[in-house]
Amino acid sequence: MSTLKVNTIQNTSGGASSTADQLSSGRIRAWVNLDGGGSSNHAPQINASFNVSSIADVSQSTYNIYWDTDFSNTNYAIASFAGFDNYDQQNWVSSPTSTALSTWKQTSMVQLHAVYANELHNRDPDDFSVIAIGT
Amino acid sequence: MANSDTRFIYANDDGGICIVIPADNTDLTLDQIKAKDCPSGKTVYTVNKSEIPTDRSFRNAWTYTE
Repeated sequence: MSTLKVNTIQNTSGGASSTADQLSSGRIRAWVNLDGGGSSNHAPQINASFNVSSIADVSQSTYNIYWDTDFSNTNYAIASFAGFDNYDQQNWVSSPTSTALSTWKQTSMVQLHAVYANELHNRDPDDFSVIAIGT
Repeated sequence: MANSDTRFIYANDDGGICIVIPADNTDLTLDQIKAKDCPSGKTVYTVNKSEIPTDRSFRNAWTYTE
């Protein structure tokens, strides 16, 4: 495999410069989209992913995302989304309850919980996505 | 057989079970995923995904026995 080594990449007009470091630190390192099965009541499944080795169905609407290539530290940024398929509730994503940051966010994985409006009766999301950026 | 046809199951500390779903878009083998993503101090069971119930009404009460 060949390696292209450059300091700066520009467009054909000489603008829109990006250094190799900027590209490396700014690109999406890992992402996953999964179907938790809420509406169709089936086991969770990965729809598509990049740099993810597996997900874990920890409990209802709680998932571990394991990175294929780990991050060098835990200062990476996460964006996540959870939604239902035509269901009369809203949903959002949080860290798990009463869990230390060092437990739910590690260089090798992150654990996220899709929070239902009524915590007494949660529901698996139909669309759950995670994007991670960092080094 | 695709990675995602397999599931790894182990007991959570809270008494429930964790079900690991391997990704297909990875160069890792199932054994490598199992070693990397499942806890080393626990018994991990390897099952076909067809063995996982589809009715998740009582998901948090699930246990596993061979």
